[in-house]
Amino acid sequence: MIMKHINKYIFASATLIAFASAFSSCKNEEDDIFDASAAERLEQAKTENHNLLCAAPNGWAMQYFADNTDEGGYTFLMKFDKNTSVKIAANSSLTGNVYEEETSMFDVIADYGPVLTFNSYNSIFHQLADPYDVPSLPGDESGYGHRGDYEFIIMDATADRIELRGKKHGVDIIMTALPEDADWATYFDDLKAKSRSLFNDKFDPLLLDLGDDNRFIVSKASTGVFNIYPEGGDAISQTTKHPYIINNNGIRFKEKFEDTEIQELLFSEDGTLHVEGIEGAGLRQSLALNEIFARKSFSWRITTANCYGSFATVLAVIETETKDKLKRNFNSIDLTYYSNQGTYALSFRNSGTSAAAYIYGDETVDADGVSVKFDFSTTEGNNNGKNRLRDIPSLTTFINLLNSTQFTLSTDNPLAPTTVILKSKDNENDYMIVPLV
Amino acid sequence: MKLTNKYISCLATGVMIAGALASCSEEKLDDQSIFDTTDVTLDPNSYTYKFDRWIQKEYTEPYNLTFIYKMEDLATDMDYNLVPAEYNKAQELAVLTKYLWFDVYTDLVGIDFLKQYGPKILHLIGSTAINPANGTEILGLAEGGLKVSLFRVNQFDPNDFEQLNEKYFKTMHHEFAHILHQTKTYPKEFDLITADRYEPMGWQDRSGAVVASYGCTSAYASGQAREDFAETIANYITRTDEQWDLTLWLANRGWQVAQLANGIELACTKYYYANATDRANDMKTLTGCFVEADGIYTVTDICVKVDATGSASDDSGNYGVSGGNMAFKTVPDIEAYFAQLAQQYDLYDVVDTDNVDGKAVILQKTSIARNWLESAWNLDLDKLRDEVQFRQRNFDLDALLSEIENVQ
Repeated sequence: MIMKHINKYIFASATLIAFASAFSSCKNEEDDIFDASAAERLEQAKTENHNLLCAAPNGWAMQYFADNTDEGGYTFLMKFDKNTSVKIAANSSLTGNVYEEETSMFDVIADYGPVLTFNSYNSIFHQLADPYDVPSLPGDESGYGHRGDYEFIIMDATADRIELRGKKHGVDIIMTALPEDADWATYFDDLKAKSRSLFNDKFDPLLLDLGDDNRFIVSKASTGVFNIYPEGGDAISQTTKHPYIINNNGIRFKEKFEDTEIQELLFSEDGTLHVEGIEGAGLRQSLALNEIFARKSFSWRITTANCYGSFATVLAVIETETKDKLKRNFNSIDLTYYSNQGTYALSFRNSGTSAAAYIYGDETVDADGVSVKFDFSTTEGNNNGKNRLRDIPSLTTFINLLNSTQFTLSTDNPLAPTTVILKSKDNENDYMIVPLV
Repeated sequence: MKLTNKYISCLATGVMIAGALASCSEEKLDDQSIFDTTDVTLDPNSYTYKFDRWIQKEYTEPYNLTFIYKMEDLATDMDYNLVPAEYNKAQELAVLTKYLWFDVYTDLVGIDFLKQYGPKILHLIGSTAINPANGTEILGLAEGGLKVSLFRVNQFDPNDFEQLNEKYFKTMHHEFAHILHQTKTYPKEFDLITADRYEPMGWQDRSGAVVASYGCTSAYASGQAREDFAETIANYITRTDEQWDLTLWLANRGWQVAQLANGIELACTKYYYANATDRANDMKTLTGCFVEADGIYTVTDICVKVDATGSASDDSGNYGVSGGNMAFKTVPDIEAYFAQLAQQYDLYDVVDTDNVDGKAVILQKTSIARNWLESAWNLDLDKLRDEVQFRQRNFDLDALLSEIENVQ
């Protein structure tokens, strides 16, 4: 009896399961997440990316890094054509620092996702992937070369920006669409001008502030690689190398700085570079401008062409007296340091002689970082200097004018002040724009 | 028991109903393949249309061969850093490969031979494959009897015949020899001839002259037997009469290797005593030094003085190295140099101490290859060589390239 009941339950359960299975089987298929198969979507992605590359009317600027830390990034301009050709241009060490362009082939293939491949050799571009020794790099790179990629996984793509990742070496690379009216050769010239205005190793070191008291001493930035070590740290054992590339917004590093999200420094209005979103962070000079100006290794050149106001007036007289008394042309007066005598000096230069004429004196700087005061003698100097003081009376006038003027210094290039403006605090019309010699 | 069967029957019925209903929603296969099944249609607007069309007509259609000149990194050994071939160089090599390889075999044994046994993929690669560990460079690869990769395309210089021969034409025949023996094995007796002389890891440091005296046609051939086999065929086919004579002449001599203080090793085949003092002290001046540059064999007028132990230097440096202004590429030129030198000195041969008749061995290996090609492939090695030699001396690259320009 008990068995009979049990069997009855079993039958009922089985029937229920059967019906349940029957009805559930009508809904056993999961809804497709995607409209098309993976292969179809990959084909579609290839086509879309190919079209996107060709759609930029004036092409793309590629910010390229090879997988080493001994060289900076390289800018390539690229115009993709639907006929599978790509025109690539550069103006860098890869082209002997002249503008060159060359056409080769490209494709978007299905590989690790959609991959942009430059599949025929372009002598401008592919030398970064050549496996031969690179004399300009330290060591023997035979078998490796620069360690650059020519196949790139397309990580993200829009009409004005494409993010790539090197397939073999894994370096992230960005392409941005060029403005339609941008001339390619001029584009490179502008980048080079920006680089020159930012970095000059004569003005090392720079100070990189990444915020949170995270400061580094920077040198050799003009090589395309920041050599940095922590402020207060050891330059020998703690220096690390950080390749960067210059673009229209500032500079972008090959990788983020360790323990930060910082990979870019943007142009500031004052000519320095800043980190977006972090107050006070950025790249600046490690020395005040007047300290740089007073460096004993630097000489600054005063000529009739770069003096204004009272200085121009006196210099014009000096020019005349040089011609009348010495029968020579006045060239310049350099603000310099005369190491033989261990003193600051004015170096008077005229045509017809290479013998320097020094007039001794002193330069003092204020703690405000921009003020400088001169105290040059009107009697002391080397023999040539004394002779000039004797023969050219207006030279004494000029020295007295210099000594009596409180100068404020400024520059358009605070990171690499190759030219400094000395302006009188009392009369803004009296100023000199002096280049570093 | 009966009751149980009844329940089982009902249960089975239920399951069947469930199965039947389930089957009504079976997923239909997409009628679109995930693979690209469209015919290969060339785009006339493509930048490379003419070249692609020429490849289609001259390689794909007659030989069912895929000629890859646009780099496919996935199709290469990812351990090496390689670059694509230049487009213009790829065209030059494509027409010459056909003229000096495919057309030769087709003329000799008919088109079906390469259609059946030839490679199905030719892959051009711009750079060499450099092994950073030992500095060796791969010039060609044959894989699985189907694919041949030709490297170093970007250094291709159609005006440098010796380089063309050594770096490209020889590579084609070398790799094809591999494909043939990967399909039909060559006689194993070949492997035994030089078995005790092969150095798979150190062949790149060996002198071509010294290995010739062991019976190998190149340093690479002295690495292992199958490379020796391919090199024997390729060198016999592509080396000119003068180069082949030189190979046998090198093989027929004794060589003394002088190691200079800078580490350079020079294999020399003659010696003399520069003066009575040297003779009294057994200070030999070695000459007739073998020099190989980029695979090109020469014998030079370099003279190296060595002491009785064979050392070329004492603690303070070399005993003396001179000459190096002249390099001879043919046996008559070398003999003329020796004859001139013999007027000044008593000139002696370096004694051949390796107990191998290198010339006889090379000829024996060539004979094995000749017989194997005849019996296994119905190929006459000498006719093959004659045809290749003729074509190597008589090709008009511009005319060959015009086939691409004028392709229909």
